[in-house]
Amino acid sequence: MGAVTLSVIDRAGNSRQVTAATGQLLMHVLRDHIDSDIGICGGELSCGTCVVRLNPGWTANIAAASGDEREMLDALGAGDNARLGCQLRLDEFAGGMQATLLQEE
Amino acid sequence: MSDRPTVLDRGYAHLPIPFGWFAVALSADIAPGDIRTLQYFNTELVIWRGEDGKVNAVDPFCPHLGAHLGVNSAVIGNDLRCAFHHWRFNGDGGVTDIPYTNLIPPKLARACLPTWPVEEIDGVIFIWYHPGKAAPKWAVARLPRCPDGDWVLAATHDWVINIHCQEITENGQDHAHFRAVHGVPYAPSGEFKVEGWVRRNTVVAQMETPRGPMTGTIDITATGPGQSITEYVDVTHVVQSQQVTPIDAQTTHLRWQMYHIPGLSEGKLRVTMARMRDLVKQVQQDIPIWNAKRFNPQPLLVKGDGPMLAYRKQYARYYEFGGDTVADSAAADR
Repeated sequence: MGAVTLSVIDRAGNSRQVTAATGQLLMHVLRDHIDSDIGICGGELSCGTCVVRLNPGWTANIAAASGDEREMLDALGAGDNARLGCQLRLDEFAGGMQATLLQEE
Repeated sequence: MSDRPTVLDRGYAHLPIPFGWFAVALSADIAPGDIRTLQYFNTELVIWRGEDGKVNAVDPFCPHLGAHLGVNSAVIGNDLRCAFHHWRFNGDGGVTDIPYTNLIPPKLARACLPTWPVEEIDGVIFIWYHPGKAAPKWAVARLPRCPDGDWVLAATHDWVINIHCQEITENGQDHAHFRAVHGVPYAPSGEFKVEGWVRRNTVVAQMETPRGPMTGTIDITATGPGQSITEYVDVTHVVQSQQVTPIDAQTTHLRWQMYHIPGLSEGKLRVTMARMRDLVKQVQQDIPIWNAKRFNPQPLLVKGDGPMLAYRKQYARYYEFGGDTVADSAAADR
């Protein structure tokens, strides 16, 4: 299994480069490196704690959000380029991704 | 030494529970704000009546962390509030409030708690049961039109009987038992008709009255496996609304609501009440037999027995669950 390097940015704006195995969910990377309270619903699309904004244009690299994810993003008022980390499985294209955790309302 | 089995197999435990509308409570038993846990269909469900008067039915466990929604829960407005974390649910099974979060996930707001179709007709609350959760296939039947004014509810009765519900409603087709069990002097002759999900029997019976023998008619309309409405027209005019509801495959809840026409003289009322008491006496004669009999899939029928096989042929439709449900449950049993 390969590894990719990406940037994760916490809610205070601190950025760090992390290396993660491909095949992992972005939610797990955020949980390991930023806050153990991220993804408390386990990927059921019901807590919204793993919502991130991706670097502009980068979302074009990945499959579009499903209807359920879209609905949750709208409910969160998350805006463009936002995704839920529980729905993003890191592949070889994840290198260079910047994922910024969104502020809680 | 006897090789008699210690537990008799009466043949009911492995029969399926038919699909249909089944009575689960009388309207009078559940006021706005009331919550009831019910044991039917070999499972449990929770019903409540909201302030809007509507009765709702759901599976018993909260989808959040599994608390029983019939235990220390509360009706808030039209919604049911779970005792454990105060999540609130509407009658569609959607979450309407979570007091400690600012975000109710849209898919939980839509529906996350399984619901049961409910109808409330003529003072009885009915639930649609289907093991594959198929939508209702017919409407709950209503009382026949009262010839003058409104029917008068004279009495309600209920019994829990150790038998599959199919056997209780087979009784009406069993002509020969009327004489043996109930002492009806002439075996009734009947007409048996099946139209879709409805079965009608018209029985013309000779009966003894203080003024000599007379002819009475008994019209039975059974809609689905759970509901029969019988109209007796003789010296009196009585409607018996009957529901059978499976608690499980070998236990049935039988309910009666007895009505008569309004405006009866004192004398007519006395005869009418006696007629109703006689019907209760008859079911009390049936119950010990039902509680102990077994199911004979191939009964030894002779001339004079009645259209029991035609009844069973129609009844078999209520076991046609379609899709994968039957195969799945059979596989799970292995």
